[in-house]
Amino acid sequence: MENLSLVVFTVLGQGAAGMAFVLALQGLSRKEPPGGRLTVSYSVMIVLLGIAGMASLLHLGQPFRAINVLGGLAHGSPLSWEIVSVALFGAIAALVSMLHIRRHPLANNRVLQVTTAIAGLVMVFTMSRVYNLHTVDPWFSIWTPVQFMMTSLVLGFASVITLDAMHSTGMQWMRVGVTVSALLTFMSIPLFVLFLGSLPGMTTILADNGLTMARCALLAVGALLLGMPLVNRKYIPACSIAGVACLVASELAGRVMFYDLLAFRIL
Amino acid sequence: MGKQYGFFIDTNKCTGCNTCRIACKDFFDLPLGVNFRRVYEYEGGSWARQDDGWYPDIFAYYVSISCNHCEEPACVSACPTGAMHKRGEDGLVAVNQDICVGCRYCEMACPYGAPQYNAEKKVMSKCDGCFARIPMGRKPVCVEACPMRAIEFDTLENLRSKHGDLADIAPLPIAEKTTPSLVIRANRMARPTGDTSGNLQNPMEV
Repeated sequence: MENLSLVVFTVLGQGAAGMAFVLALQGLSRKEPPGGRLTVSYSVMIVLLGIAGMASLLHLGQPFRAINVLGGLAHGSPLSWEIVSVALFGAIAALVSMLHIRRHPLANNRVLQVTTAIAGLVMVFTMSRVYNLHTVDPWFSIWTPVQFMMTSLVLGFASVITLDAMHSTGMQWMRVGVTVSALLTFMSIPLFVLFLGSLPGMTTILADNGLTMARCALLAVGALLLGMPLVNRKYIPACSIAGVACLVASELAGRVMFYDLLAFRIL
Repeated sequence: MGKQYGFFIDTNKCTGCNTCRIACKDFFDLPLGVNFRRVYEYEGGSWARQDDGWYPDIFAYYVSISCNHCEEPACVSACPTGAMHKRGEDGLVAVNQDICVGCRYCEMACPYGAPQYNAEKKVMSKCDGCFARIPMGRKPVCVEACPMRAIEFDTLENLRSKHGDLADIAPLPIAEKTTPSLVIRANRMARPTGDTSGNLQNPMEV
């Protein structure tokens, strides 16, 4: 559990990026809720990113030297680039949040919304490059960026749906989005486990993984709770909140398992 | 670039006594849990059919490994601060603890477990090939301590001309990953890298 702070950093950071993406889509589709709800959404996004940033600092042995990470840009350290992209996304997201809080006319600027979303996606991409190490076989595959992107989509859709609660009638496309994202994530789990099984010495992780089973269960329940209004046309706020809680727990469980894969290296 | 120094380990001679590991810990006053040199005990086996019956076909050997001062060190390319660096004069990989932020990314990247987080100093630490002893004509502490004389330290060119160029056996990872400055004399029972018939017997020790 020494990487718990990184679990929180990556999951919440990717969730914030997912929110930026969904909010940009919402803006482009011109199906935005009343301004107050958007302010709440952007504020929650920046708070999530702030918590993620704090968690990443907690991981460092010497957090007061954090500025030294710029030194790795020269030789292209993936971690240096990740930190730059987090800072960039954070700056843009903070700007947009502030514009919404101050009810500035630029707050609903489409270019700004799309730029925020792109900055978020770039951050998720640089995060996945950090873990695509050729010396760590369980991480060195297409499944690392796939898992990171799915976390963004699942948590992005789930968070915006829940925060837009008062505007529930215009969110069918988001409910479809969260259901499809959760389904794709669900399907990717056994495929990832199959990939792990192909690596030498990884059979023990397949034999004993209650964490993966818990993750699948939480994913299914969360998707069901958030996708249910598509079928029964009833919106229950408690179900929405429970649904997003299940999905966050599911993604945290999945990320803990991801970091635990390091323990299966022989040396 | 100057010379490239490296280690040679004779796994036929290594008895797993851990004198090398302890000598290094003592010399550098390393805390509990930090081991610049680690001795891996790899064991396994099965049964083999011979004429009139089945006989045990088992193997057990030790591999003493520190930092391999790789030609393409994964830790150096991973390091976000430049603290982890490869020295030009001797090719040894060292960490500048005054710059290191203790992110442990090098620890994730290295396939040999060489970078070790020092919880007391809150920065990374690792074998530096005892480069301070080279100008004095001394060998690294682990080399001088080994009672079996199973470890050598010299330029990679000299080691390879004396002992060949084998750089990986089980349980070590494939050498192509980082091109370690390491030469191994394989134990007579040694299994090739990637072998899954054996297991590491002392995971808590390393």
